Amino acid sequence: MSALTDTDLVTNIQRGQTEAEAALYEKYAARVYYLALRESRLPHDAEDVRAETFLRVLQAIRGNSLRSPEALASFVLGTTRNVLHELFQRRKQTGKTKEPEAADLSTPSHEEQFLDSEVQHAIERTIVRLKPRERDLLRMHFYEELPTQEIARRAGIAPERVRLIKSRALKHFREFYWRLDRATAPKKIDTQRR
Amino acid sequence: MNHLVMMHPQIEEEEIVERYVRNQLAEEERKAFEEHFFGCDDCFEKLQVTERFVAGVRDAARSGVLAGEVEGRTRSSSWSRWLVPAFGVSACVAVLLAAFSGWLYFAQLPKMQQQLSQSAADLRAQQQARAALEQQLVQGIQAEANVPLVMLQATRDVQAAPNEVIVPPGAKHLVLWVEVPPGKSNQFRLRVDTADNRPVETLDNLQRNAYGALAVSLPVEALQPGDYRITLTSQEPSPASLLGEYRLRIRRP
Repeated sequence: MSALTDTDLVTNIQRGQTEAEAALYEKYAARVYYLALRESRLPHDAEDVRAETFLRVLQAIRGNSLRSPEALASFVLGTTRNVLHELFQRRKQTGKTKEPEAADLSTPSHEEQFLDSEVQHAIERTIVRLKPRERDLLRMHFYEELPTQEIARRAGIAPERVRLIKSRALKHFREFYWRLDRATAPKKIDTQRR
Repeated sequence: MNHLVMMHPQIEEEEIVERYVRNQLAEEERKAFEEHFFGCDDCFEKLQVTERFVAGVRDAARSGVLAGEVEGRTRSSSWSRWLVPAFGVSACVAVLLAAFSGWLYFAQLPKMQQQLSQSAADLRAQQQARAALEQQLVQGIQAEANVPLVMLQATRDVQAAPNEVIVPPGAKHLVLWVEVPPGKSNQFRLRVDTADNRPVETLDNLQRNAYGALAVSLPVEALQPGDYRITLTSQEPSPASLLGEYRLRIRRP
């Protein structure tokens, strides 16, 4: 079912196939939850946003109110944003929290949602493979938030080299992480949880 | 709908994924990228990985791991931490050892071998000298039978027959027996010269034996067959004085 196009999904849902609804959820649930978590910064709010978003999307599809089935991805995204906007409106009314636009976004507070032992272990294995200068570079870039030109100047290398080192470190991390991820898949609970 | 449509080349070129994660995109760019990854499995997967990577790097920087403190948490890093210097030290030691061995082999070894050869030659020479001395000593202390002996009779007559002795083959010594005239002298000198006055042997500090005579042993080697003149003088008390002259003829059988 996951191999179906968005147009097929919309058509099958409109025909009453529950498998198509599951396939729709399978395809977009992680994206909706990710965006909701990133914006709301609270897992339970993100779960609520995801549930409300899919409820509205399915209602729209079933009610034939979706104008362009091939634009399903944009419709899901637009619905997510609407639900989030309503969430922020409620928050503003209760005065509990600020909207993300008003918050300081220089430090993504949602990053803790991506930190777990597998990520830490994969990062450590990645760092071990780096030269001291490359470690300094990553620290200056991702932690001290220095501009690339300044990092290149301090490290005595070309700016293109900074990018190359980042890219290589990310590649190693990806390999280590997915290896660990496959090994611990049954117990994995991450930002894609449903 | 957003007006900006984002494609892969731009995403790659402008590092959109990382900048999105780090909240560094402008509003329009951010919305355009969200529009993109909602419909792109590859970019969404890359976004998830990048989120974890950035979170992990920042966590590592905060905890000090990124500054090289991974050792306590990762076994492989611990290995590399001491293994690399250990290899470095070992390599340095190996190079120094090789250099020292080369210097020893090419510079010092020939010199030492030469010194050793010289020492061995010296040792051989000393051993030979010692063996010769030992041989002489053995010969000197060996008992000797049939020692020729001649009792010298003083004479002033050159026409008179000299004292004569036949030295047998194998004889090592010749014993001279000299009767000493009575007197106050108690130490004597015996001098042996050839007939043409070439000195052969001189013996000092001779003393009378129990028979009131002097007994002297001379090596036969120094006494080739021929005529010799022997003079006896007193040494004590001084002044020395001539006590007697003797003529000796040595013959071989």
